Order: sequence, then C-alpha cells, then structure tokens
Amino acid sequence: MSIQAPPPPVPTDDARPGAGGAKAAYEPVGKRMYKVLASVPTAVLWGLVVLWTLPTIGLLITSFRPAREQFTSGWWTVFSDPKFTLDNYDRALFEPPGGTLKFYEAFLNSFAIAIPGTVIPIAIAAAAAYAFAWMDFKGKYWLFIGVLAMMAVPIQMALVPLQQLYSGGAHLTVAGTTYVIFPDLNLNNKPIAVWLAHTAFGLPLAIYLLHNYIASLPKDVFEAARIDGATHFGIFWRIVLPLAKPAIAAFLIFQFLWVWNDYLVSLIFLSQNKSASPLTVQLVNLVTQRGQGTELLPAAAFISMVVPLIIFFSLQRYFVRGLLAGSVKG
Amino acid sequence: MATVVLDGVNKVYENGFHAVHDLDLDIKDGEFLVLVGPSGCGKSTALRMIAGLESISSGTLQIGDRVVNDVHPKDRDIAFVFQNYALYPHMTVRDNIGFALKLRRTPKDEIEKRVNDAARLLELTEYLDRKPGQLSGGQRQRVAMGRAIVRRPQVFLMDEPLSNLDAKLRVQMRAEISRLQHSLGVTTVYVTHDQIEAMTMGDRVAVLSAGYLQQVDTPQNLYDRPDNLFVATFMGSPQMNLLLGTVRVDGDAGGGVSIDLGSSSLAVPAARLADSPRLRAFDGRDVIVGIRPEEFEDASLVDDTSNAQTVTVNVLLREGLGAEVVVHATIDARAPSVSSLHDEGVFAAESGTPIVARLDARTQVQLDEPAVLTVGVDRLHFFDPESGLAIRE
Amino acid sequence: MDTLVSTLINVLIALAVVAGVFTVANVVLDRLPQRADQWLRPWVFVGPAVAFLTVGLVIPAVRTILLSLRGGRRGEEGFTLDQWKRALTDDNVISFANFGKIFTSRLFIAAVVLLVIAIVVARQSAARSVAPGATQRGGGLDVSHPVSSTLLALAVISILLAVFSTLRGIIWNNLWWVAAVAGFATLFGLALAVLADRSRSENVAKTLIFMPMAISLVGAAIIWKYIYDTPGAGQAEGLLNILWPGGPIDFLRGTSPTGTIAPWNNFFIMMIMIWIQAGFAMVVISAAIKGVPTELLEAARVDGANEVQVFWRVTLPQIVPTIVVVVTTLTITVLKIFDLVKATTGGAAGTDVLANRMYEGLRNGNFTASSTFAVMILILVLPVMWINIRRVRREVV
Repeated sequence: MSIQAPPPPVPTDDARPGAGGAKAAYEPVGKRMYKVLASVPTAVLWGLVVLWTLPTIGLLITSFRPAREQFTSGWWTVFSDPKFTLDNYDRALFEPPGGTLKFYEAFLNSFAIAIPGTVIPIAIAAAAAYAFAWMDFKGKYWLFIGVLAMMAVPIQMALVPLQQLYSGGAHLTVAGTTYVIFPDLNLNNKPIAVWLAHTAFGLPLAIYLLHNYIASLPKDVFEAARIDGATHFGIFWRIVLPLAKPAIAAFLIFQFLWVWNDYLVSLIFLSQNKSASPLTVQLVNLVTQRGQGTELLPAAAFISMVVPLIIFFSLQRYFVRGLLAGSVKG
Repeated sequence: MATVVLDGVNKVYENGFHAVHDLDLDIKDGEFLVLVGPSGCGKSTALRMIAGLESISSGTLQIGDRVVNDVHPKDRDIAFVFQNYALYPHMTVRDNIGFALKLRRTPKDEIEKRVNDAARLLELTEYLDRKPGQLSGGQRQRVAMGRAIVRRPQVFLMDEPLSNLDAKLRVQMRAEISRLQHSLGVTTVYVTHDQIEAMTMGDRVAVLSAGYLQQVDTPQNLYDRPDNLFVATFMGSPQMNLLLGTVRVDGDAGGGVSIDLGSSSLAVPAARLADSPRLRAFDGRDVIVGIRPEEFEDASLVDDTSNAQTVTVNVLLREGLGAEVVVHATIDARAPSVSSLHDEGVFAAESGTPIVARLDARTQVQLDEPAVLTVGVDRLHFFDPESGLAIRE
Repeated sequence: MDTLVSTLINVLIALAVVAGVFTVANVVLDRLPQRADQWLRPWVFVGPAVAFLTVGLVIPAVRTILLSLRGGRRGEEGFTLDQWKRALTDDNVISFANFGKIFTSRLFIAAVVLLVIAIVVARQSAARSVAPGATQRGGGLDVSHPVSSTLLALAVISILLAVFSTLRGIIWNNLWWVAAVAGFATLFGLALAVLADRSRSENVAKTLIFMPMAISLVGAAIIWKYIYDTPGAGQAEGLLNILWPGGPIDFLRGTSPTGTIAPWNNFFIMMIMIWIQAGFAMVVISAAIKGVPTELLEAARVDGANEVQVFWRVTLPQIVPTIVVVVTTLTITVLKIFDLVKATTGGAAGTDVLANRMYEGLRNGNFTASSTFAVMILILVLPVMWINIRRVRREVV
C-alpha cells in the first residue's frame, strides 16, 4: 500500500543554480534591455582577451615563417600569403648559430634544474610545515614569522655570497686557527648549484602554503591517530602527506614553473658552463647574437614555453590554488 | 493594504528542477503567516520569490494591489531577514541599520531618529557603534531585525532567522519577534523548518512538502484536522501514531462503525463519524488510523471505564519526564507502509507495530509487560491508504 | 642527455638522503623518553628547512649587507661607506636635477585636475546624503562616492608616476616600475575581474588573460619584440609601429626619427610586465569577489542598492584586504625586476634598474658594488616586508 505523501527530495535550497556572484537568478524589469546590457561586459571582456592573446599568437605564427618572410613583413600577412616551414624549429633544436647551445639540450637542462628544484623543497617544507602547524616548541612563533619574512627578501641579497660559498666554502679564522664551516665542494657551474639555491629560495613560500593547508586539517583526525598509537612521524607520513596532496600539488606546479622560467639564478651559477645551461639563458644568448639566427627566436621562444603552457592549461586549477593560498585573506 | 497573494506560482530552474508547484496563498494584511516544511520543500524558494530574489516561472504575485512579478526587490516595499543575518561586516550597527535609508537619500536627522528608535525597540542602543564581528549571535539577529524594521515596509520576510541560535536564545527570540510583529502590525511571512516555531508564532501556518502546499490553516486546526498524512505526522511531537485498521460497518445504514486494530476493536463515536461520513464507504477495507500520543491513557488511572475503549500494548521503554511519562510500546495491529515520513521510530518492531504514548505521571505500567491503555476515540484520525488524504465527506 | 640522467640520479640520491636521515632521526627519537622527545622532535622536522634557509638565505643576506659596507672589490679592505657614497652621489643612480620639472609635467597637471574633480564630486555627494549618525568630517566630503574615490586613486597614481618619471636615476626607475606595474596591473586586474564576473564563459577568458603568467619573462620579452620592433636589417616592423601614426619609433630604446621618447621607453618595457601581472591580479581579485557571501549582495539589493552601489559599498570594501595583498606582492616582485630589462635593452637607454647593476657588479668581479645595489633593493622592500609581517602575525595568532 503506497502513501500519497511525496518523498522529501534531497536538494536543498542551495541547489539553486546561479547562486553567487552578479549572475544570481534575479532578472529585473525589461528583460530584453537587460539581455542587451548583460552582453556588453562580455563583449568588452572578449575584446580585451583578443588584445591580450594577440602578441602570443603573433609569436606562434612567426615561428613557422621562413626567415625572409619574417624580415620583410609582419605576421598578419600570413592570412593573405601563407608560407610556413618547420625549419626554424629544426635548426633551433639541433643547429643553432655559433655560441648558442642546441635547444634540444637546453630543454633537457631545464628539466635537470627544475625537477630537483621542485621536488626537494617540497619534501623539506612539508616536514617543517607540519611541525609549525601541529607541534609545540620554544621559539616556534618567531621562527615561523622569520621564515615568512624571508618570502619578501629579494634573491639578489643571497647570490654573491652563495657563489663564494659554492666555489670557496666558508671559513672562520679565530686566533690563528682556521675552522672549516662549510667545505669547498666546488659546486659552482654545476646544475646542483642552481637547484640548491632554488631550494633555499623556494622554502619560505612552500612552508607558508603548506602550513596554511595543514593547519586547517581537522584536529580530531590527529588525535584519533595518536590514540591509535601513531608517532609524529607516523602521522606525518600516513596522514598529513596524503591529506595535503592538493596543497603539495599546487606548490609543485607553482615552483616548477618558477624554476623553469628563472633566468637570473642560472645565469649567475652556470656562467662558465654552457653545456648545462637551461632554455632561458640560451634564449637571451640567441637574442644578443648580432645578426645570426634572429629568425630562430620565435621558434626557440616557443620551445621554451611549450612545457609551461602544457602544465598551465592542464593543471591550471592547482596553479591558481597555489597563488590564492598566498594571497586571499580568510 | 499590505496583503500578499500568490496565485498559481511556480518555480522551475534552468536545469529542470521544479521547486514550487502551483502555490496559492492569500495572506491578509497584518497577518503572521508561517511557511513550514522539511528541507528542500520549497519554502525558502517561495519566500525568495515574494522578495524578488528569485524569478517567478509562472503565476502571479501581488503585494497590496500591485502585481509585482517583474518589480525589483527594492521597489516592492519589503524587508528581508536572512538566515545568516547578512550584516555588512565593514559597517557599524548604526550604518547597517540605516543603510537602506541612506540609499534612498532620507534626510540625515530622519535617519538618525529612525535608527535610534529601532535600536531602542530592540535594545541595541549601546551597540550602535560596534561592528557585527563584535556582537553575539543574538545581537546580530536583532540588528538584522532592526534593518528590516527601520524601513517601515509593507511586508516583512524572514528566512529561518532563529535557526543559528542556541535553544534557549531561540525560545526568547521567538517571543520577541512575535511581540514585535504584533505591536507593529506588519504583514509577515516567516519561513522555518521547526514546527514548534510554526505552532507558536503563526496566525496561520502553511505546510509545504516537495514544492506542494499541503495545507494552510491556523496552528490548532492543522493539529486537530490535518488534511493528509504529511501534515498529520509533521505537526506534533512526538509524531502521531499510525496504524492500519479494518473498517466494520454495522448491518443497518446509519449503524455504527468500528475499527479492528489487531486484537482490539474501537467503536467510532457518532459525533466523530458525523465528521467523516465517507468512512462507511471503507467497509471491509483497510484505513490508516492516526492516534496522537496524548490520546492514550493508562486504563488503571481512569475512573469511569464503562464507556472507555481500550487497547492492549506491550511496553518496551518508559521515559519519565516529570510532568508525564512517555511510553514506547508495541501493539498487535498492523503498520501501514509509510516509507519516507519523518521517522521518529526508536525501535524496530520485533512483534507488532511501535507506538508512542504520553501517559499521566502516576502511571504504573512496567517494562516488558502488557498494559491496557484507553484511547480517546473522539479524536481519532482516518486516512485513505492509497491517497494519504484524510477521510471526511 | 647524460646531464638529465645524472641529475635524476642526483635527485633520487638527495631525496633518499633526506628521507633517510629524517627517518633515522625519527626512529632514534622514538626510543628517547617523552620529555626529551617533546623538545627534540620538532627540530628534526624543522631542522632541514632551517638549515637550508640559514645557509642559503639568512647568512648570505647578512654577508651581502656587510659586503656593501666594505672597501675593495671583494671586501678585502676594511669597513667603509665608500660604496654607498659612490652609488648615492652618482647621478645615474639617483638624481634630483629634474625636480622642478615635475610640476610642469603633464602627469602632474593631470593629477591635479583629477584631484580637483574628485573633491568637487565628493563635496556634492556629501551635501546630498550623509551617513546616519556619523560626524561631519573633512568639511563635508563624501570620499566614498565611487566617482570621487576612483579619481582620487588615479590622482595618487598620477602623482607618483609624475615624480618617478621626471626624476632620473636607477632608483627612481625602480620606483617608477613599482608605481606603474603595481598600480596598473591591479587596476586592470580589478576591472577584468569585475567584467569576467558578469560575463558568460568567464573561465575561458580568465585562462587566456592569465596565460602570460606561465611563460618566462625572457619569453615575454621576445613576444613583445615583434610588437615593438622598428623595421631594419634582420627584422620586420613591429605591430605597434604599424599602428602608431608617424615614423617608426624604437619603443624600447626610445629613439625615433623626430627625436626621442625617452624616458618613456621605460614605460613600454613596463607594459610587458603589466600584460603579465594583470592576469595574476585578476585571478586573485576574482576569487575574492566570489568569496563575498551572496546573502550580503542580496541584502543590499533588497535594501535598495543598484548594481553599482552593491559593488561599491558592499563588494569592494570586502575585497580591500585582498587588493592590498595584490599590491604588496606585485611591489616585491617588481622591485627585483631583472629578466625583462636584460632581455629587452640590457639596461641601456636609461632603462637600467637596481637588479641589473647588481648583476653587472657581480660579473665584473666588483662584489662590494654589487652588494650595495642588492641592499638598496632590500631597503626599498622593507616597508612592504613590514606590512606582510604584520598581516601574517595577525593570521597566525
């Protein structure tokens, strides 16, 4: 026997679509007027979008144009007189002029710097962030403030002494005896010099990002684990790390892009070692080559942008989250 | 005249979800009407349509003598109190309350006077220069009320304003809102999921379920004469007991009717029958019998048992509440298969159908023992098992 | 290829070492009594980070400050203020020669005009409706009126730009960078966020505007080369030159057949940065706008506000903290600007910036001079750093 009372459906009033933002469900008087007005922002926005992407599209098109075309006409002429070639990419990757490294090798070098420069800071920062979030120790407050203050310190402040450290080590001479504080590892001009530096530079932001996230994990989960017998290490390994995956992903992407796109640090620490030089350095190298190979510039630039763009378009959500974690209040 | 009339109002969302079906409501000037129902029944949607925060898919809405379907919220002369108060965090209490007046370019001294009056009425005068973040929940609620009052609108709309307060505060604010509404005499539409709020505050209560209006009437009428199973079980706590019984009509027309409930049989009094003559048509068939918990009494406490009708139940649990004893028991009548209604059943019946009874505190019924209870047959409820509607004419 | 392989091996080794030491330390601590464990364990977790930061950032930073105060190219001579004196007396670094010209510059005049209009509008608005109960301040000026506030903000930015673009010198250049990029990128970001919020298909639009954030500054410089180029040997005329009336202008170096557009060639490099960072500002501000509870907006609409008033009086005040964060983040980023300048002009034609001088000093082996410029950047960052610390302290507590 069935009853007429209809079953209470699940959706609550929150299910109403369009909740939030100016596009909320309200439609005022004069619906037609409103629709016209409503499309004005869209039109303006897309106008701006076109303006914004034009430069990049221009470069993309130019990278496929033969040298002569590049030097004599602008890229918009391809619509009336298309002439394309893959030559530029071919030469940039394998036979660039004179003093430039093959971009294929520079491509690999960029990975060689970016991967360690991303993975290592995250490991170190995760542990530190957990400690700051869920452990108590003397001096924690000021140490944390100190770490975060480092976020603002310009990397230029560290470069000269770091270079000295890499190639000479650190010594302290007291009363005639010289103590070696830091051995002379002769790290200069090796990729490790670059990504070690990036590790140090990336730590403050990493710790801030991860701390924000880890501190907001529910306390009861930790307490339950502790009752179940887990040590701090166990909790860190089995609970915090898996739960913090979104924040870790966000930082990984953010840091990877940052290191991949970096120019200054690689420039300084790899100044004598061209074969280990990454894309950014070789790109500037190509730019400053007088006369030779200028037609390869767009192609070379795109080679350097491919990886960041792929990461950006496919993992944008995480990138944005990384950005926001440091920026939006509350 | 601040009447609010909804005529065949529907709300269908872009994704096809039909939230409100053909709602007809006729709210009188100065009336306090409560929209009540479980989560998702459409009550908030209906309120927001009256406010203009949701568009109306079809049907008309009239405030006063104007059709306001396409009128902007700010021009409907309504005030809205949100569930989470929606106070502007960056403005002081004074500025929060006076915001709407400021937007209308009311003269400065007029604003000041009205804000101060509202503050005095709500006992907020000493908080006027604080920001919402510095206030307690109850104070914020009053600021939200102040914001509504100061506009002197034709209609107050309130969306579950008390649900974020703790129990004690809720009771207190319930009374304050009622008092306020009566002294100001403003038409008020109030949404809540709490049937106690509905019963105590409303002049009339409209019960909604899944977008459909179930019944609209005074609280007492809803309680005494629910039109269908939903309303019957929604109003009243503990919930009305529902049993499946078979109707037996005595041979001659105009004969008495009795209901077989398991091993017991209850005779329906003539006066009660006069109210539900269609019951005779169910001769030999099952009907759903509704018995409110307070209609049971311990037979041993009743002086005159000659006319009493009794049933025998098996006691599972007794909860002493001081003024009364709530007894959970099983009865050997069948249970109707009502799947989804507000399930307050504590025990899965091992044998028999669970019921809840409110007995006098002196009752001597014992656990795991049979007890004889009288039933107030004058106030039995009968429902058609197919449609769930009350059986009347 | 072997670089890559050997690097990957390095990474694995490094990770293994870090993880190994970490695990061992933890296991060892497990054996210690509770009390010792209590105060030792956190340091195992925090230790590596502290070590890296100390060795990699803190100590070098201190050393840099000390280096800038020493004599001789590598600081081999004793403490002296020579480097600082030399830098600060160098007209290329900082000069007040053009001070008078500020007041006749177009930007300054524009700023004054904006200010006057802002005050007039504010006065008018105040006369019409005053906030209930609030005392009359500032002689009856309602500065919160949208038009007057916007004009005021623009006036402030204009004055800053007027000062920084008229006075010449590397330090003024850096400050000009900050005012222009932080100012315009934030303004554009705000405008874009508001526009996107009210449009359909906003996600695609936002992605495309945000995309320049993904590429390197060097890549960006090359992209814009094809906009800014003058026709000549080995290059075609850039897009902007084609659209610009008159003869071709070398936007980056400032030269043109009819004279020079210096120092405005700086601004064209800044435009590249604005192009990139507006996306950042937009994304962050957009998130903040969406974070304003819908109920507040609805309450304002019911109270009688039209959409402009809703935005101005409810949304905007709520997102001010975010805007502050955006501006401070941009300031910190821009003060360090190096890649863009190096890849476009190399610092020539009056586009030199502090970070470039720092690099040049390093490359020439003049460590003390280099350090001086690095410290200058730090000094300029300090106010922002202080704001950040204050904000973080409030959050942590």
